Amino acid sequence: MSSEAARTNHDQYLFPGVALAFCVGVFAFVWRWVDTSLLYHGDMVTLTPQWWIVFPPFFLGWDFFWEQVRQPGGLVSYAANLLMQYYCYPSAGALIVAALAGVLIWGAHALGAAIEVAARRVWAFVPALALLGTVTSYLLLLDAFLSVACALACLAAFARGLASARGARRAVWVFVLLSPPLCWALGGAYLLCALGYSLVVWRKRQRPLAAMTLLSFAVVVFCGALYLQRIRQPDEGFHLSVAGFAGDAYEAAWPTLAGLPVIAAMLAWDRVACHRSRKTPAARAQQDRARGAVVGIAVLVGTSVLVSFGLMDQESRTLLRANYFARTNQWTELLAEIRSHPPTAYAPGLLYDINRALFETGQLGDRMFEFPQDPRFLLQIGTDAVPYRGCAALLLRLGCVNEAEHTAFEALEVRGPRPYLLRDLAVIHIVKDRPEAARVFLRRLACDLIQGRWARECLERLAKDPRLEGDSEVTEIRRRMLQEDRIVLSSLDLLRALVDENPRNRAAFEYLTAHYLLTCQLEEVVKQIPKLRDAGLTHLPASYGEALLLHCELTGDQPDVGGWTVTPEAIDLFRKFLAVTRDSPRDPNALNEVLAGTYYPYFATHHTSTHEAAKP
Amino acid sequence: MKLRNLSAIGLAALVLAAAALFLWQRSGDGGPLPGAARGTGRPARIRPDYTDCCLPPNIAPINFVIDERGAQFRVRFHCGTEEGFTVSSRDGRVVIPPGPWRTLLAANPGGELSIEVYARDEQGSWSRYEPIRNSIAREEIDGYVSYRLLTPIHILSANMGTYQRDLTGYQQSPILESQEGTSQRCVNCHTYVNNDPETMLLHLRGAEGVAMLLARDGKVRKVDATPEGRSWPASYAAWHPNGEILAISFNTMVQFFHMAGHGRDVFVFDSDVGLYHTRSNRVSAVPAISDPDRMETFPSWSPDGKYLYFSSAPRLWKEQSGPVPPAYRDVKFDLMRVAYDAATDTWGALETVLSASRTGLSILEPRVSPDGRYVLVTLCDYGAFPVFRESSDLYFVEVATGKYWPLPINSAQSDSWHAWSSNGRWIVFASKRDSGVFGRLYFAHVDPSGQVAKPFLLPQKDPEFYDTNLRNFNAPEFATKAVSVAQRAFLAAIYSRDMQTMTFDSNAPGSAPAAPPADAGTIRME
Repeated sequence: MSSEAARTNHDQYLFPGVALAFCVGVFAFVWRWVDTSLLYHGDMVTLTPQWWIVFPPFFLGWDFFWEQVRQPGGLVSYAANLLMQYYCYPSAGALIVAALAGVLIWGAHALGAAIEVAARRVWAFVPALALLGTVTSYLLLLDAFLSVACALACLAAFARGLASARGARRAVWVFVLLSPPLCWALGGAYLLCALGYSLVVWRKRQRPLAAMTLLSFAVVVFCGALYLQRIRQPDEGFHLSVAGFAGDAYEAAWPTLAGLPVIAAMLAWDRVACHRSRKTPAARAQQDRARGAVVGIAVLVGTSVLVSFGLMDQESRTLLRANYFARTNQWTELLAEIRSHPPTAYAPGLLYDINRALFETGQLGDRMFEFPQDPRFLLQIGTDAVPYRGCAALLLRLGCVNEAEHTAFEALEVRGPRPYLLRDLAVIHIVKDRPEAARVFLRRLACDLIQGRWARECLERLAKDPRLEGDSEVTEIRRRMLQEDRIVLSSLDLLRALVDENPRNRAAFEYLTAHYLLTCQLEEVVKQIPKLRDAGLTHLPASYGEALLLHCELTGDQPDVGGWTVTPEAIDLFRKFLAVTRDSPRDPNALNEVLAGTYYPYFATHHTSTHEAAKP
Repeated sequence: MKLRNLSAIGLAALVLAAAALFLWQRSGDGGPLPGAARGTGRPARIRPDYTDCCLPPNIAPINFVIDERGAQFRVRFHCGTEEGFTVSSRDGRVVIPPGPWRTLLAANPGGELSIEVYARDEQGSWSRYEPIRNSIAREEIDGYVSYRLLTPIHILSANMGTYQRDLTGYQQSPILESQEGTSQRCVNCHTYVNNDPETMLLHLRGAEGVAMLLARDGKVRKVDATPEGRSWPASYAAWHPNGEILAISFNTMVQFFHMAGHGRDVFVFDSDVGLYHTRSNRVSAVPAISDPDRMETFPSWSPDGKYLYFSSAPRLWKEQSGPVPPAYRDVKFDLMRVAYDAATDTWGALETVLSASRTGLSILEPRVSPDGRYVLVTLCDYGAFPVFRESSDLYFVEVATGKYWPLPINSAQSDSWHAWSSNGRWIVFASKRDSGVFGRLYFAHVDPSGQVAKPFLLPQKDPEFYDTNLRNFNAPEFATKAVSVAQRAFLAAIYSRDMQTMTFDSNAPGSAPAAPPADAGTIRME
């Protein structure tokens, strides 16, 4: 086979084949390991104190479209938001990522070909690997990568125009004319397109001055677009400063800035490769190419594996999986996930979900101290509850419909319309016999790609039955809903009111008792024990028994607890607690070693401070 | 033929087609009415409900959706024997061409607008609905209405604004808006001098302080809403017709929440009314209402400026902050007035126009009709925040006799925030009648004998606008012309370091022992 034939073979079959295999690999990995549906359901999930997921909404209709496209980069952002809705389905999400990886490979290869650098087939995989790395780390950067892909595609189209000397001038003018709309559509990635185009002009047409002029022009267009966007917002004109503007520009142009080192490395590599190729005899070149292909594939596979599994953020995955299970009411799975991969830190949102899972699986009173607990995050109301999706859902579950409405409206104001908020608000207003208000939320939700069908079905059901009497969820909430009007002062007041009004409200009963446990109000816990049967409990939960023993020990009383008795195992544990506290008083480590998962370590470390705090 | 020529021809054809489509849409030629149609014996259901209303002759087209089954619809708009015009629709959305609409209404003041709806089913047979009838008033409505737009917010706020809307069209423009990320301020009550926005007041709460923005002759100045050495900020205000004095209530209040029923509520710890002299930045007390055991709020001037109307209630507690006292349900405001002579700055005697003991309800938001005959008020079961009370209804109080009666247009939900047009023939109010949650603006005609016609909803270009709109319209005010001050001028004043301060005369309102404001910053007056 001649050298030329080998090169053709390489171009025609090997590179596309490897790219296809890479994309298939990306698809399989993202589908099976990453699972994009975790991101779809992960809006508001706190992964670290500085990082929480903000999953973008998308609504069909011109209003949403115009709202998006009226800012630079809005068109790409609109498309990315649209695509991201399909993250709801793991296979569709994986397909989107794999397809985008394919476009990035093709575009980067086209850039390499246009500026005629060596080893472009290897460099072509860099953006796709970066995409894989971000997806693996659960970073929502689809819009940035989509804009880069679009920029590379535009660049490939523009570069074609420069092929002939006659058409080159016209191609440059076409680029200049199309720059403003392109900049508006692509946002910061437009600069990448302009940079690539300037490089093409420089290297292919040997016009460094023209290249610099084009790049400067692009920077002016980009800054102009950014400035226009800022001054269109009325207040911005009064906040405009050079530093602020530079910060905005940096933020907008980061896809280009991230690409700069890659392009610089490509050019440097090319310089080295050219130098070597001048020294290499023609006979060796073919051999080198074959060896290079094998090495390149090996490097690609190695890097891919490294990026895929090396960057896999297990902690984030656990938190997102736990959130997913909570949002889809898979409580047993949630607890199993946390037990198998305990996170290093428990964000308040996770604490809500864990306690809810414990309650829903009938284990709140028995096992709540197997997990970290914080009385502040058992139940919050009003603005405090806004950041935690689990809290709003819990309020509704308890029967605090007004407070759930309050929280949902606060969240709607600060977070904008999100499908799950619209759904919650629709349900709340159906429960409160306001079908017309529910219809407004449902009609808005009907414009959502994923939940639209549910909204339309609900609208149809509402048309037939405005109270939705046949809906078990609505009926259940109505049954538990607070009827007596009192002023809301605190979450404790709410729980008390719920139990006063309906002693059979098991959720309220257990959360109220959990509150007493967490605030070390042993006397209140003991008062709750005789009411267990009313609340539907059939055994004395372990924590309640432990609190009872503590109360008896501390006060010397033998209260009437309605015939409930503690088990011999519980008494045995209590003896151990007494022994440990006698030997090493207030040593949490010693307590945790012997009595981990019981109420005793929590009580020993919290009872003074929390009990004082709980006093009126 | 060259490619370039083909492109030019294609482009020209496209432009012509677009122009033809545009002209056809504006012409109102929705095609011929069906010759043979089966009568249904009832009018078609439409939303919004524009049936049996009284419309101003200068109102924007009342686009609507036909809530009937059909593969195609034809709608004929006409008055009397006039042919009128027709609109065709495939999906039931009826978008009325503005040109023929204006012509039809302008030619028939005092006439009756007939809307004939025809629907074609899948099999191709037509049905004819009974005509929907609306009357056309002789009197025009003021050209503009301004209002606040905000979601049903509770405490947090990110996006809200005060907007003006051209009532003869659909153009809405911001007077001052607050957007998430750029500014998070509460923009609230706006007040004009006798519906003339050349002199206006706008309230503001946010990072830039609690302030009043006073606009006059295109210039805006910022005045600290909390007067020097006092703790209560200014809230509701009303311009004296002379455009120099503002009656302002200084309130300390708190928002609270109910466990059941309607969630939100507001409690006013204390409130006083004073006069703000805009030239001298001085606040003077109204001696007749300086009783510290009573609260006064919602000031409103009679059109001749000779009387200051307001709501007044006894204070049943001593606290000015802290938990809401149990007596909050017993707070009921009387409607009172006090005579005033602006030329000599002297006050007359205090009069009770209508007492809460007579009505059993709290009487709020008095607005005197331009002819001075009626006071339009909102009555609700208790308190001073009618927009949160489902019981809120509009009432007329006849000034000469003291008689009062509910307007026949009230709903089971909150009807409040009302205002009069400059000619006194139209009222606008915010009502939650449709959903119980979202406040919408309704307009009603008031004839010289005080009869009120069925109100109509503020028309929108998109017939389905209200179906998905999550924002509340409230605090509407009519304006005879557009606000001439640009938003930028308001913003310049907001960001200006030059904030003027109101000074107090002795015995002025708010001179009760200073207490920290009861979380006044958290109130978002819907």
